[in-house]
Amino acid sequence: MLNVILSLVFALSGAVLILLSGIILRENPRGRINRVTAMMLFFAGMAPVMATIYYSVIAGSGSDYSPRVLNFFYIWELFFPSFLLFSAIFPVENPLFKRRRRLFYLAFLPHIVHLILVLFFSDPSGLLSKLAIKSDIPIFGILLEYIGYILALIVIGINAIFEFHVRFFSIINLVYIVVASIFLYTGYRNVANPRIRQQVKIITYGIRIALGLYILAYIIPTIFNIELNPQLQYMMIIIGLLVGPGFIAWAILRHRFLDITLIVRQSLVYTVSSAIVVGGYLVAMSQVGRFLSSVFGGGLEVFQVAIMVIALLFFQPVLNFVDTSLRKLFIKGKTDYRVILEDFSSKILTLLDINKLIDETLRTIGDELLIERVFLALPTDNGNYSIHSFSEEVETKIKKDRVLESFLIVREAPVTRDDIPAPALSATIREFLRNKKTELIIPLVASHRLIGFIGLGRKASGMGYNSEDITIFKVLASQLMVAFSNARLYQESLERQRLEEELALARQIQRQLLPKSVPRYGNIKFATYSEPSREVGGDFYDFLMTKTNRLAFGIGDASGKGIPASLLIARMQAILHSVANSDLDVSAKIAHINNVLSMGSSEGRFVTFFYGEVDTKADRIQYCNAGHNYPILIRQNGDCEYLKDGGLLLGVFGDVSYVSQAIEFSRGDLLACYTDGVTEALNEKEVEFGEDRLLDVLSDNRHLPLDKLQETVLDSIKLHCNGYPIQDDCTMLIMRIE
Amino acid sequence: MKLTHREVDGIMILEPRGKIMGGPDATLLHDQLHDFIKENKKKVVINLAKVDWMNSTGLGILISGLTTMKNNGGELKLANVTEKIESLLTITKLITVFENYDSLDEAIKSFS
Repeated sequence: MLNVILSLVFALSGAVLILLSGIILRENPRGRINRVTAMMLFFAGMAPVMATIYYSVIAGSGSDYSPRVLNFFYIWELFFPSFLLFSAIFPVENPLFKRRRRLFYLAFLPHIVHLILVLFFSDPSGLLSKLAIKSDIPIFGILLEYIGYILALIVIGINAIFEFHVRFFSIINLVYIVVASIFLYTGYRNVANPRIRQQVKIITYGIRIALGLYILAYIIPTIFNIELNPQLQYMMIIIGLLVGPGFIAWAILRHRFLDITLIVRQSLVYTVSSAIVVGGYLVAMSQVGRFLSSVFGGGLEVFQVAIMVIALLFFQPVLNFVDTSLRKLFIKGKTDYRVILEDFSSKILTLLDINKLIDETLRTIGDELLIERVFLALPTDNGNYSIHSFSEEVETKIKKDRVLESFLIVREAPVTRDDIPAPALSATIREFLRNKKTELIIPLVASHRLIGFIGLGRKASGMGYNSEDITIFKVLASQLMVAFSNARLYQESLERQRLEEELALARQIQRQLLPKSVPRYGNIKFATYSEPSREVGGDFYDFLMTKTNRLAFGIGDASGKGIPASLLIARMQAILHSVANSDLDVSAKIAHINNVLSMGSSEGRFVTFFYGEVDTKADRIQYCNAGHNYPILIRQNGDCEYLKDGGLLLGVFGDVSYVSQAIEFSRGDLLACYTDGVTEALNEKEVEFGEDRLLDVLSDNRHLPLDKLQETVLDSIKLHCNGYPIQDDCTMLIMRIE
Repeated sequence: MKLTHREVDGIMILEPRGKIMGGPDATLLHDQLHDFIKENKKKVVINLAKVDWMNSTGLGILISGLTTMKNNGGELKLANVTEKIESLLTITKLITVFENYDSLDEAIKSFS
């Protein structure tokens, strides 16, 4: 019974080791690390396979087998030099290996010689008897006798070797193990990447435990001739055999040791789960069968068929269950690119801050996909790429390259270093890619526009990029494109929102600066209208009483738009209010306003302003036009004139003189002041409403009540514009003596 | 607005095209004038032949250009002012502040 269990465990672990060896070799047959690892695992697998053959075939049979067959088992000892070689190149190449590579290959020599010896010279005494050839020719007889002696000596030597070869090679193996462990440890210490460290840790732990048990169970007892309890010995060796391959499989599944692709890892999981289920079934069936036969006695075949049918019924569901559980445990972890991508895409879609998005992208690729020298290049407005690198805080800039850009747009998919048309690129870009050791470039192309690209260096595992990686990066790129355009749209909407708020504020300021109502003054009637455009300009009008009890009115337009224009008219009005009530005459008031405004005004900001003071007793208006659109005065008889006199617009040049003009303003006369938004209102053909049209509509309708007149003017502007939006503020101030 | 410039007899001729509006136009002209000042080229003519329209901000750009040159001991003159812009300069009385000439030649001659 012990033999059966033993051979089952040996067979299983041997099969797993050789399977692992095959997987690792198949994954990248040209990679040295893959070849060496595969070789090591293959020889390691030979041990349990040989043991299986021994326990299931030889030990039970009782027949005599040639010791040569048994000696064939020594082939597994090639594991020890393979292990030494493995430790010299994993996880990083040992400096000693770089210098004395031959030394490591020579490590195989003792074991190969040993194998030849035990295979071909395993029976020295038999060899000796074959050599004892009798010859009839005396000279040959003597010669042969001497040769026989020499050979006999050699045979005695070989015999002597055979006396203690097992012990001798145990010592050699022990030395190899110790040296290899030291190499693995120094290699581990030189690894910086946490994920690779984790891989190395698991693998070295697995190997250490397995070999430690082997040393305890076999090597030390052999060297020191200690008799161990055979059951304990078997136990230790079995545990060792389970732990070693188990840890390597763990490293592959959970930590992507050697970058084994997903499909292989999945099939590995499937194999392991099938093995567990089949093994479990075999044990269960034999136990149940034995139990039943002990209860009912005999008739085992009947039960076996029944059990078989039941087992078949449940085989697939149980296998599925085990498979999914194992998959959850191993593959659905941080090593599965699909899981990383799922995490990543759900995360980036909620990241609307471009900088956070960049950080997350670099972190995922660098930290989780384990890629070195990751950078993200985003085009800027001034012909550069801004370069964001993983683990480098500073953002650098390099000049854009048109060739690379159009190449990436055409390709759309990830391109390897060899595909990049390096000679056609600018020296800056070439140098940059060389410095970054870029192996792969992932373009982010949205509707034939390159919105950026990601550069990847080597994989931390040292493996090249395979088609699985390329597929993953394609998916990643398409998700990034969505995320980046979302983030950009969001930024734009934020910007828009900020502008909207600013405009709303400007509109509010402007509204509050306008008089709440029109004044009542003598028999003058007023109609006012002011509508800020979408962008809000700087139109305003105002009414004030002067010291001499005249009614002052003004209409103005500050240059610019939005808040700056609003603030300028606020200042303008403050100055106006402070001066309107003074003793100065009209032109002096304007000159004063100009001086004060010029002092604190920023370059190129000005106000055009028309100011008038009405004296109803004298039927006169005293006015001064500081660079404003000429107001139109229409007499009751239809004569009209423009009020032009005054001086320069306000707020730019100080110490400018202004003139004022007095005009008669009596019953029935109409004065219309307006801002340029009225006359410059455009239609879809970009034709302005214009002064002539304004004059026509005013004089044609001059007898209408003011409200009606104003409405008519606005209607005719609307008619002219024909739905084309008005670009500037429109303000009108119309008055008439009734 | 697009802005080019050339030099004739040590006089810098700036040639904007299109509409002079706010925003980037202001910095474009401003930076160009400051470059001229740095190179000690302080006689500038703005040829407005290809400018069909300007808004109040555009007018502000011209004004600040004029003050920039004046403050740095230079001169800025206008040439080929189109009818539309001339009326703008007239209304605002800026016509009294800017020296403006009907042709580029006249403007260049005026410096000597």
